[in-house]
Amino acid sequence: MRALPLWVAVVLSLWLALGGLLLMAPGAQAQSSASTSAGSPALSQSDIARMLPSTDMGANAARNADPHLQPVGDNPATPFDAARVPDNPLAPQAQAVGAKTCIACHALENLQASHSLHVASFRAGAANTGPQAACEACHGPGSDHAKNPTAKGSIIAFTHGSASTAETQTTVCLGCHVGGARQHWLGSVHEARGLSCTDCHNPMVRNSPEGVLAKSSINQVCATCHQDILVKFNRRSHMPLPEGQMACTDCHNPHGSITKPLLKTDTVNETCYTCHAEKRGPFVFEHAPVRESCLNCHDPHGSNQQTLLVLPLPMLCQQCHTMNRHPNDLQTRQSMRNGLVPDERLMGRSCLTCHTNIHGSNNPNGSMFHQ
Amino acid sequence: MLTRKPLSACLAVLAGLACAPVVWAQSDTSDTQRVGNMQFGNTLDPTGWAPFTTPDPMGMSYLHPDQLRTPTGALYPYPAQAPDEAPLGKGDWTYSWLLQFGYIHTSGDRNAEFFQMYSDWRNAGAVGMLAFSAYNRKTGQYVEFRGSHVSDKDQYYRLRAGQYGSYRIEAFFRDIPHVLSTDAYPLWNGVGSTNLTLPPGITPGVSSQAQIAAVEAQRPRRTLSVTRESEGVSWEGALGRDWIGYGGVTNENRNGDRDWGGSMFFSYPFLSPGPGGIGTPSVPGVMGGQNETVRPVDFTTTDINLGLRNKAGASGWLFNFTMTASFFRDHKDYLDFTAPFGVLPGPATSITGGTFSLEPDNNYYNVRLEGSHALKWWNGQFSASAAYGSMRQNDTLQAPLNAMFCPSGQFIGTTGIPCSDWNTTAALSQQNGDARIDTGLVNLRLSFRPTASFNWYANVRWYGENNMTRYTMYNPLTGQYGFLHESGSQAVIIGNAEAGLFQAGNPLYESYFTQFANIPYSYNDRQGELGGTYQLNNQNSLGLTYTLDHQTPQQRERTYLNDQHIKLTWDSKSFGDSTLRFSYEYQKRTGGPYNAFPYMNWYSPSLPGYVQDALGVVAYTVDQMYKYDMSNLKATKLKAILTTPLGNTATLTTTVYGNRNHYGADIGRQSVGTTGADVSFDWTPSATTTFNSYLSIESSRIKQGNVADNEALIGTSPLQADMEFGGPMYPYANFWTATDTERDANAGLTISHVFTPRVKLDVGYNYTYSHGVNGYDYSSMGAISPSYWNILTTADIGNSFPANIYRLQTLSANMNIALTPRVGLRLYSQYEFGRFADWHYTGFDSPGDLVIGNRVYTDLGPQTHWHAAVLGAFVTLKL
Repeated sequence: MRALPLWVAVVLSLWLALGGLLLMAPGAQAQSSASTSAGSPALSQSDIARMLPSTDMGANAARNADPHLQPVGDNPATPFDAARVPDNPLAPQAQAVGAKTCIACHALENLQASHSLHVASFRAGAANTGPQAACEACHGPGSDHAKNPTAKGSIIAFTHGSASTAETQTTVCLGCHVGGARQHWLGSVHEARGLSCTDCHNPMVRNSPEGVLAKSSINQVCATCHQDILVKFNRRSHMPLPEGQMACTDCHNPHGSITKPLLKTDTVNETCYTCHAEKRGPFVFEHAPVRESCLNCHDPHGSNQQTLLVLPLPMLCQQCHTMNRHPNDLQTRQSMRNGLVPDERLMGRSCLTCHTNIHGSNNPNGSMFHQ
Repeated sequence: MLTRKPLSACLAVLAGLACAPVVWAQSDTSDTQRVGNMQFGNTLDPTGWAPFTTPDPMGMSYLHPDQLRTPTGALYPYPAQAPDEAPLGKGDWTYSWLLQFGYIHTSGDRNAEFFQMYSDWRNAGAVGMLAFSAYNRKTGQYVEFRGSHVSDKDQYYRLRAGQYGSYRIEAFFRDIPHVLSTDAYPLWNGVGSTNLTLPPGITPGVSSQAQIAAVEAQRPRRTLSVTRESEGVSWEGALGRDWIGYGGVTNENRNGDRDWGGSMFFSYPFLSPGPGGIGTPSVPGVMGGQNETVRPVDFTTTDINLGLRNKAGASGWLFNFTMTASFFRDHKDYLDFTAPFGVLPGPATSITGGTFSLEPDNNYYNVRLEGSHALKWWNGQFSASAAYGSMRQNDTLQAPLNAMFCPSGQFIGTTGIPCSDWNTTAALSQQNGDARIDTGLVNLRLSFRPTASFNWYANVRWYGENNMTRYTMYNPLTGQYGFLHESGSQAVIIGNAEAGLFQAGNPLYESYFTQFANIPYSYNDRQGELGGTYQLNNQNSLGLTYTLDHQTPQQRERTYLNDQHIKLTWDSKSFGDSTLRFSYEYQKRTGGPYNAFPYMNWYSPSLPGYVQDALGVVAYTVDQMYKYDMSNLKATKLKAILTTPLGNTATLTTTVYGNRNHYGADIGRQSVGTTGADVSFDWTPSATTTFNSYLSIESSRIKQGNVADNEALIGTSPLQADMEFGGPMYPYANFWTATDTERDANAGLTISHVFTPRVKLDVGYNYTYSHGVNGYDYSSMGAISPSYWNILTTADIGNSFPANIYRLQTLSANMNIALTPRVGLRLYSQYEFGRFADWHYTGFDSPGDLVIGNRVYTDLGPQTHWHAAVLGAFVTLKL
């Protein structure tokens, strides 16, 4: 099929972009903004008090008294249909009031949360057995908050400025999500630096295909703090994160692991081998720095050199190889293809043109990785 | 036209997949503890979720108009509009679906390597998204499917089903393209196979360089690429009140080809000054040869993962057991290539080609058991992990030489070495690789929180690798040790003196210095760490960590290394609403005495019968060379991230970072330094408008030193054995340094706006610029190859290479127009403008440039300038 001339494609591209920008004129914006942040004033405490329905406060006790329902236990691994209402250290006397009370004020939160996979699971449990397995399974008992909604700490909150500590917040989440991928949360760098689960997750909405993430993809979430790492994936050689084929969590477990960089496996190399199994070998002839760590030569987050190398060849190799004769000679601009002395040690794939099996060789003549 | 009834029937079948018995237990999933396949998307939609991200103008709460923030201070995006649902049958199921299909058109330089790298853009129909979900609100059962098809090499489909809190099953299929070169002109026929042959008209060893260049110039352009096609199934679910199990199998096929090598000994030492003398282009050498070939990629990797964990049952132990088995199979595990040039000028010699052993099949096993238990004291916890792994391969080994290129009845050049002694597997000391590396890991941790404001921990970790591979390069047919370099070509050019062989009692070989066995690199790593965090007040906490990492590498330059780290952290919310995370780390590495050549046990002087040459063994390297993974190191690292809420609708995130590494080496890597900063500004004035932008800059510098040996001493003077830097073999005059200086700048913005409920526009612009300069300095002409002394002058040499540049600007726009509640139109465009320069490929401008002297290259390198555009028009249908 004949291709459109490039200029036509460019014009069409620009049309899409510029046309949209023109539509962003104030008039167009006014049309849409009227329905949203039109400045509806925040509700006062008395407004909220008037709106409160009769509640199912005390449902926790009622539930335990009902022989037909599973009792509420202290085990953090209880199923959703017996979800435990967590203690709120800042409101130790508070009682569970049931979702009906919460929804009286938080009607829109309730509506949005019902689309979230996370809340849906609680709904499924609550539908079977009672109101405990809903809002208060995460936010703690709500009676103090219902009485005084603006008092900080009266409910376990998971957002900016919350009086609840990060430890309190994460303890709630780990009440169900303990173990597995979170086995090493305690002591992990993200735990130690005071992050909360809701720095990365927003269990109240469904804005991502899975993982109830705070943004629509894993990579966007990680870039919230690690933009410096994400931009490295824009470099000449990179793994296909910008193209949507990979995620940071393909290699890293942000919930903690027994390695410093939060790798999912025991070592850097074992992580790399999961996609590059051919490099695993073992080979009859190993290359010491390769077997030790792929990071000796590669930057997995992106590089300005070919194949994620940290330096151009042959300089990369010459950091270690000063053996007699050919490895230790200075290569200059005259060794380029158009130089006075074109040199195979520099042109194209440089050292790898001859030492091709650099990751290891299984050839009986392969101790120098020629074959 | 789709009708509800048949569709409902189909969907009911899918929903049935999720109707497994309910287990009375609560389970969750643990994807983030398993490697790979976490993300399903493509360039058309990197999130894999774009059709479902239209913000709901209602927002999140009636109590406040704007969005809340994460605990750190970043704004949460507005909730997305939930897709419409419809009842499925008469039960409690509801379902939803979306189909987006259309046509993609590409223009401009659509064969540019970087344009195609991970995106198989074509002029063809495409499915932007096919999604289906069904959900039972009463039972929590669900079925979800997502898929997208750009081409047969760029597609994904994933199905998930299960019951929340009980179990989940998953199946997926995907293809990921990876283009490695779009400017490849392989000289050989048979690309993709294991046997590369020369095109008609080329006679090895007889054709001239000009003749081969002429043939090369007519070779067709090819794209070299590898496609990963993988599929997998898995299950994770409750196995009882506190037990959760996992089982998964994935299978990946990698197919394609990539540029490779093929050496037939050096060419560079044999060139000479051009006809005009010094300063004129040199005359290419006519010996040896380098061949950039193309290898096949035909891999299969099958992974099996099993897991069982306990969520702290009655025993109070939190257990996690995982077992992994991985089976890699290389269906084309060798490569033969015919060399276009004879390694010596004149009539064809016996060595007319080379052979590679490609990666052997391998198996890998790993088991890991982790357990954690609360302690009675100080709110403590004890955690232990232990793992055992094993990597194994036992492939059949090839003969040292290929009978095709060194047939029985012939000899290797004038050495008198019969091919028949080396072109058979009878020449091997063992027939199979029999290679194995076992690994072990133990990690113990005690964590305490004696008060609400103070916690501390102690961690010890041991990791070990034991390489059990043993291979001796011994030919039972001849009684010789060693190997024939580069498919025997070195022996053809140099003769017996450097054939690569050792044999006691044979005057030809009894003094030759050669490796005769593999070196089984192994290491142990013992690590101890003590750390704690103290909460000064509600706004500030300080952390301090000390780590001692004691490594004992085997068969390396040092017998032990001690890496000490001190890390200080400060997390603060005392700057208004901002959150600051600051860290500073100091590292110091020391170790045992450095032995520049610890490998003598695997070289011929350690064999009985070795006769020391009167001139001594040539200094293999210089004593003062410190490999950077073994050298001393003093390093500092600093990073600060400040997240600042601006009003109720914007966030400014500023990051500053840097590191300085000094290796204490003159020869080897000397220093590394990086300094960078990022600023991100995110603004969400309303549910309908989002603006994100970022600016990132980074500079880095790596400096190294090296020294050329005095090649005139080799074979002529006993001074050749002197390994001292500054001695006659490695004189100061031959010292040189090289510096890699890189500057990177990135900027980008995205604007998303919903004009009415009917039109959503996303516009994005991204700018990437990398500028790298490789400079060098040298003490004298002794730093460069002696064969160039009569050709180059200091003016020719200069002090740097041309800059390496990678600049890419991408403008993308996406417009979604809702024509009716169920029918929409998506217009997609991406315009890309790039520039690239890499001195490795300078001068490779056309296929005729790929032959120079006895060197034949395949790849012209990535395109230096390109403009390319993608246009797509899609129809979106949904429930």
